Amino acid sequence: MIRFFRRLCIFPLLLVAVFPIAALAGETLRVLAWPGYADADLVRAFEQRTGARVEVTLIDSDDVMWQKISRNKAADFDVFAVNTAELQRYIKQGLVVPIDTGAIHNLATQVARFHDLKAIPGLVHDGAVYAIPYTYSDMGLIYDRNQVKTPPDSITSLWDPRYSGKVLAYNGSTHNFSLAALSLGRANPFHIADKDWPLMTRRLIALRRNVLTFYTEPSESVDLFMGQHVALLFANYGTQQLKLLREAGANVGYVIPREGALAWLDCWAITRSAHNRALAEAWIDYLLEQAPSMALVNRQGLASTTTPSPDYRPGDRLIWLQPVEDVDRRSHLWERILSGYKFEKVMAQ
Amino acid sequence: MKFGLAFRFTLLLAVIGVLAAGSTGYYAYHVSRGMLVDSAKDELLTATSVLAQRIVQSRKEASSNLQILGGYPDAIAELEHPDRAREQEIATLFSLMMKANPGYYEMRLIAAADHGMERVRIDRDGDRLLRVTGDELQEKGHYPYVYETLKLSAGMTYMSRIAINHEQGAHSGQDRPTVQLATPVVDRQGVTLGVVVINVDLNGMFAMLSADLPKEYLLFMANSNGDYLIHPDPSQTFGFDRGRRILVQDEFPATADVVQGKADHVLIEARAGRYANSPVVAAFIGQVVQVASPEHRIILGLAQPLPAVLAKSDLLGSTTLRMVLAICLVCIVLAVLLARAVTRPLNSMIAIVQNFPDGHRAEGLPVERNDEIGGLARSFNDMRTQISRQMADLKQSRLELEHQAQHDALTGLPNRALFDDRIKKALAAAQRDNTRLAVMFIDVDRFKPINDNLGHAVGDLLLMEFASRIRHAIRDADTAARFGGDEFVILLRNIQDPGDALNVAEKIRLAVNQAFDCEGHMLVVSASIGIALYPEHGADTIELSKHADEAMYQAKEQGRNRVVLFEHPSDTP
Repeated sequence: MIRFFRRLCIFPLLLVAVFPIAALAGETLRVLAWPGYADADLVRAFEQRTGARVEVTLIDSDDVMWQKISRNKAADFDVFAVNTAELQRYIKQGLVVPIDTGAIHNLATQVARFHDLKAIPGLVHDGAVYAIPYTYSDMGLIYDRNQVKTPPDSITSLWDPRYSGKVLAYNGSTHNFSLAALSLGRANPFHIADKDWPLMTRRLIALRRNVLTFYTEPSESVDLFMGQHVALLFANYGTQQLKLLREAGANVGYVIPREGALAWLDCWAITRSAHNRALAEAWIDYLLEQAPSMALVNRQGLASTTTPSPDYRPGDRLIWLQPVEDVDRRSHLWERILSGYKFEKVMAQ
Repeated sequence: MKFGLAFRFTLLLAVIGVLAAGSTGYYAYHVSRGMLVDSAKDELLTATSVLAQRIVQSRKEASSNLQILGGYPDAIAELEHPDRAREQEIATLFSLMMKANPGYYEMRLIAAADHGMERVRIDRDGDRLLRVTGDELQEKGHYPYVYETLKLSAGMTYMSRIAINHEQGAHSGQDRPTVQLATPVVDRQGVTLGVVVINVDLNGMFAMLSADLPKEYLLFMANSNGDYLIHPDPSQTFGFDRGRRILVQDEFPATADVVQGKADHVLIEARAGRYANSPVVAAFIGQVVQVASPEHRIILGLAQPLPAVLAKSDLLGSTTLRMVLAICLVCIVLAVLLARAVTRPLNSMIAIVQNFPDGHRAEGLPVERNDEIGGLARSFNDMRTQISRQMADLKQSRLELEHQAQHDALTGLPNRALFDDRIKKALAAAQRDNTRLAVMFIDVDRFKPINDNLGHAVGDLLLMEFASRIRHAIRDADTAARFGGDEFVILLRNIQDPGDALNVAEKIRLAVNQAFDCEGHMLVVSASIGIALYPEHGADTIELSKHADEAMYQAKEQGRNRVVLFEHPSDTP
């Protein structure tokens, strides 16, 4: 009932909001999104409300998204979901336009972490907001509550000899070097100074020697965790993995280490050739509502920017992913580290 | 266009025959085709099982090599106390084994200690075998084939996932499809000191698997999740290595049961997607991996293009088609014959019926038949007999009527109408043949008193006898007629001269003069006879009749009972 009255109170507000929406009827909104971001039922509800038609195109990789948007200078889509790191090249190429945050009324419903958009690297350029945070996933640590009595509070736990052979790490060069940098107290894990490469390499060799193995797929990590008596897991897939493990019956906890957790943040951006920016903004505003937000959490196991998660403690630091200094260098070194070479041999080439 | 019964009957029988033959042929073809496909599937299944057994055999051979190495005292000793000479011996042994087994990319002795440090390692590098030493040796403890194998008991084999080997520095084996087979090295106290690992070249094994297969066979292999490892299109293999899963159960949905272990084999006829234009039959089996391995099973499949399978069926089909056509032809011929057998008696009956008014006989009617046609013929014959009889009666009546119309009822002599007809014809003939004829008018002298005194019956009897005597006095070709009352007329044809006519007349007059016995009355009568001749006394009936009548009256005037030949008044002297 209380909620009902609250709704009544905001009714005049809604009227104000609905009025311009009436002008959207008959328009077409062309959406490019990841699977699960624009489910048919959610799209239908938006269409019924606005009278506009929504055309959803799904992509499954950053590269495909870049191809689709950059081809024809973004003329084929109005609005798309992109992570903060990827967003930068779209801004540089002038493919996206600033968003009128005043039109996104539901920004107010987002959790505190997203209130200051300037604090999220890459969203604001020259005072203009280029994307609205929508969903995110952080790469915290999952631990076996039966083996690890005190929740680990640092990324360095991955190197802890107590968990030797019981650590699962991710087989990914970019994130692993960022992890190494964080574990050594570097402020910006996305930029490794020239002098630091040997140090980071040694750090990852040490990680190699402490882990059971490196996984690639979420399901693989669950199999290994359950079958190999793993104590600690670097959750590259975040709460998605947590959900899988809990479903598999594991007694696991999830922490954001004190160094912070790497996290990707998907935001909605509007292209330069959007036919109707008001419609695109209405779409973004709509997706921040309760129903679409809960769909993200319940159907996809992803975090919603409007729903506080019980797995987070206040003050948990999320480090939004940014482009790294040299993808190829990280990849080259990582492959050699993974293959089992000793330090000298890793650095030799 | 109207079609006769025979045509329709033929058509119906032919259609029935063709339909029967056609449907039987099609059914036979269909069933045989199904059997061919099934047998092809069975053959594929057998071949697939053989392949699976070959893989198992290869794995077993590698396992026995591993067992030898796992218990090899030098290996144990090396892992306990590294020694260059021993390493050399082990390396030599590895080299020998790799020479004997071209499918081995790499053989290694790896220590449990030092993070899984490689102790002895031989790589295949092109055609040569390369011993890897020093800084090139790597720590492999974080690879499943090391940490999983270390957990096994002596003599057991571990099989890794089948994957692209991305371990750096692996020479020929790098970035190639590889499976690692490993066994623990266990000392006498049961302590596991390390592992021996053989990297098996899967391309080699795939080539070996394909080698003995007929060319048109398509070979498929997938891991326990269904990810393709072998596919006729190489771009479909190891998709997971490129971040894109390409699954056998997506291409062949029926294989899902094999992937999930619900079935140990599945037989498929694929016609969708890639196989829309070139359908295949396929057999997939799930070969359970019998050693410790993350690959619970290997999915193996063989497919054969449907056209190859159906080539036999096409032969069968064309044979069946020929047979069906032959049967159809026979059916048509039989239909024609049968239709004719039924319609021929009908047609002959029609012909007989059509001839009926002319022919009086009904020969050829199949009355002797015992079937419906015989019944019809008999009914028809009865009807025909009845009609014939009625016709004959009718004809008789007509003839009698005709006779009555042309003859005198009392004497039976032709009447005036018939006489006129005959004289016309005789005149025409005489004119044509330039011959002579005579017309005689005869009148019974004093007949009226007889009639009045003795009664009509006696008069009639007299006239009848009179007529009879006249008839007997003339030739058959001549005509005697009664004109009514006591007047008689005679036509004599073809007389030579007037004397002939006078002779006949005289003969008649004498015959008449004989007494008549009429119911006891002996009557004596005479006749007056007038004669006119053609062409002397007239050219036509009227003239001749008139002149003969005049001559007769002349005879009466001259005293009756005499013959008078007409004479023209100018002829009278």
